[in-house]
Amino acid sequence: MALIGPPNSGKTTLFNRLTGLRQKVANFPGVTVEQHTGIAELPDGGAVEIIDLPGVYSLQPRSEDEQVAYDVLTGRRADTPKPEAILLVLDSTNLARHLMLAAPILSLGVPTLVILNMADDLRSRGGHVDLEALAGQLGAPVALISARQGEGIEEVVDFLAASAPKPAPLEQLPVLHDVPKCREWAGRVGSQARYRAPIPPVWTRRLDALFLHPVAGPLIFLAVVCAVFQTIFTAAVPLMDGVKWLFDASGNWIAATLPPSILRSLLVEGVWRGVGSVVVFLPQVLLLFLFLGILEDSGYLARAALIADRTMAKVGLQGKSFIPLLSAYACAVPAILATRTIENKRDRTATILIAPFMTCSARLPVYTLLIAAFLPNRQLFGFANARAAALLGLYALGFLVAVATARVLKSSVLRSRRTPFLLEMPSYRWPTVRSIGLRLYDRSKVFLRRAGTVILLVTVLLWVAAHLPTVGGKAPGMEHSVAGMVGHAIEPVIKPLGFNWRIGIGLITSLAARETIIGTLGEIYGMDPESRALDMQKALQHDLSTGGAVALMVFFAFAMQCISTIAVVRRETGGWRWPLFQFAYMGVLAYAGAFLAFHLIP
Amino acid sequence: MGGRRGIEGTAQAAHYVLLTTISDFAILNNMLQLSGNKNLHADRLATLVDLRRGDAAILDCIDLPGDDARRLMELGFLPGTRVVAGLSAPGGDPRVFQVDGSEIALRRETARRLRVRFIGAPGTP
Repeated sequence: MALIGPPNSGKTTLFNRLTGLRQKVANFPGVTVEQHTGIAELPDGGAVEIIDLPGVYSLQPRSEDEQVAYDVLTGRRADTPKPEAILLVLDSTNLARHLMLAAPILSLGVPTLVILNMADDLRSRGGHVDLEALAGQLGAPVALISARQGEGIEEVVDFLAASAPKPAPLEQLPVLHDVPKCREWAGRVGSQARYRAPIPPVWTRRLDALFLHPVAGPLIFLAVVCAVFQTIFTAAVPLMDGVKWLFDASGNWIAATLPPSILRSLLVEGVWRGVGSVVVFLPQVLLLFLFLGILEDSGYLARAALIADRTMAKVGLQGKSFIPLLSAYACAVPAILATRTIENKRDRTATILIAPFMTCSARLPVYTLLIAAFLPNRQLFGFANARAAALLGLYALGFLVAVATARVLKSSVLRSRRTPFLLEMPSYRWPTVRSIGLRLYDRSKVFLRRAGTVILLVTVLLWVAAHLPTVGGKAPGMEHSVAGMVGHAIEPVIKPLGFNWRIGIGLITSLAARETIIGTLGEIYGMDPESRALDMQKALQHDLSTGGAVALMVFFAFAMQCISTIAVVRRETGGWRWPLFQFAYMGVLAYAGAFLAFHLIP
Repeated sequence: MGGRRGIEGTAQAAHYVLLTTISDFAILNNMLQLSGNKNLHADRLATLVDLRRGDAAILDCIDLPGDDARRLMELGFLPGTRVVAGLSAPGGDPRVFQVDGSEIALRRETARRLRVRFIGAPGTP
C-alpha cells in the first residue's frame, strides 16, 4: 500500500499513526530519495506494509521525488512491488488545489482512498465539503480525517483491511500535464462537491505579524538561535554528567567483578570507554533535535529560513541551509540528513560540504581538555574569561572557514543557475508529543547506531594494537606495540606541526571519530583520564608546547575526523567523489592551519 | 486559443511521460498567447516586486523556463489567479505571497519574473 500526497498535507502524521514505531528508513537505490516503510496493524490481527512516498504535487517525472513516486506507483521499480492500494492524502483546507493530484493518481487504475486530512482545521475555520458528492465525482471512496487528532482513522484502517474496488474511470479527465487545465478540473470537482474553503487562519496571520515583524522578527530569530546554543551547552550538561556517571559506575563494577584478564581489559578499557565516550553525547543531540522538532512542527522554522535567507544568499546559499547548519553544531550526521529539504542540488551539496566545519559536540571535549591544560583561568579585559573566549574563538574559526568555503564553492565548482527559491509557509500548529517523540526515537537510533558501531570498532582495534605484540605473554609497553610503531612511522610528517608519536597515535584513531583521541591519549599515558584529569593535563603539557596545543586544536577544527560523516555524505551525494574531495580538502586545511599555528605561537 | 497539442478525455498515465517535453512548450506558448493580447492595454506592466504588503493583483504570466514555471503553477501561481503580497524578511526579500489558499515565499529575483495586473489602482486591496 502506498501513501502519497502533496507536501504539508499531513501525510507523514497519518503514516506515523498507522505504523507507530514499526517504521524503517532506507534509501531508494540509485537516487537520493528516502524510502519510509512501515507495518500497520489491522483489527483482524493481520498486517499490511505501507510505503510513505515523497510529498509531490503531481506525477510529472521532473524531480527525483516525482520520478520515484511515479515509478513505485506504476510498479516500475525493481526493488519495490507495485502497491495494491493507494492512500491519497490531501489537505482539506486547501482542497481546490490539492485535488490536482487526484487526477493522475486516480487515472492509474489502482484502488484508491481519497483522504481529506485536517478535518479539525476545516471545521474550526468554517469550511465544508459534501463527501458523497465528492466520492461520486472522483469515482473513489473519500474519508475526512484528522491525522493529528486521530479522528477518522478507523475508516482508513477499514479500507486497508478490505479489498477495495478499482476506481471508476473518470469522465472529463483533464490533460494531466497541463497545470492550468488540471487546476480548473480540480476546481470544478470541488464546487460539484459543494466545497466551501475555510477562512484564512487568523492565528497564523497574527503570529506572522510578530515573527516576521521588521524589528521584532530578527530579534526573536536571534533569541531562538541563542536558545539552541544554550540548550547544547548548559541544559545538556547535567544529563551528560548523568550518563558519564552511569558508564563510570558500571565500568568500575565490571572491573571489580571480573578477574584480571584479557577480557576484562578489553571490556573496561576498550568497549566501555569507547562506547561511553559516544553515548555521553546523546543528551546533547536529543535536546537539540527536540528543540528543532518543536520549531519545525509548529511551523516557525519556515519563517526562520525566510529571515535567514538574505544572509545565507550573501555566501551563495539559501535560507533552507540554515537549519541543517545549525543542527551541525550538535552532530554533522543528522544535519546532513536534514539537507534533504533543499531542492537545488548544488546548494544542497555546498551545505553538505561545509556542515562538518560547524563545531560539532565531539570536538568540545578535546577543546575543553586542551584549553584547560594550556590556558590559565584568568580574566581578559577584566570581564571576559580567557578560557571561554578561547572556546568561542574556536567556534568562530570553524564558522568563518565554513562561510569562506561556501563562497568559494558556490562561485566556482558549484555555481548554479538559480532555481527559483520557493518556500511554503505552513499554518502554525501546536506540535504533538507523538510526532516529536517518534522523531527523537528515529534520530537517536541513527546516531547511536552509526556513531556507536564505528567508535566501538576503533576503540577495540586500538586496544588490540596497543596490546600486541605480546612480549613473553605480557602486553608490551606502548612504545613497542603495534600502535607505537605506527605512531613512530608517521612522526616525521607531523613533527612540523609540533606533534610527537604519541599525539600521532591519537590523531590516527581520531580520524575515525574525534572524541576517541581522549581515550587514546589516556591509554597512551597509561592512566585513566576520567579519574586523574590533572595528570592527563600534566602529561599533555610535557608532550606539547603551547603552540603545539593550539595547532592540535586548529587541526581538530578543520580536519574531517568522522567515518560516520563520510558514510552519510557518500550516501547523500550518491558517490565517493564528494566525500573524498571533502576529506582531502579539510585535511589539507587542517595541516596548513596547524602548521601556521605551531609556527606563529611560541 | 493557440494550437494546443495534448490528449483529450482519457489520459493514460503512460502517455504524459512522453508528452511532457512537448507540452512544456505548448503550455508556455499557451500562456504567452493568453496574456499577450490582454497586456497591450493601458494597464501598466508590473511584476510581483511592485506589490507592497497588502496589495493585491492578478497574475498575468510567468517569465520563467518550463520546469520552474510549472513548479510555481503547482503551488498556485496560475495566470488569472489573485495574488496578495504579505509580510517579508527585513528588507523585503524574500516576501510571502498569499495565493490560492497558501502562503508561498519568493525571492525578489523570482518575483520579478511574475507579471501582474493591478486590480484598480496600485495600493488598493
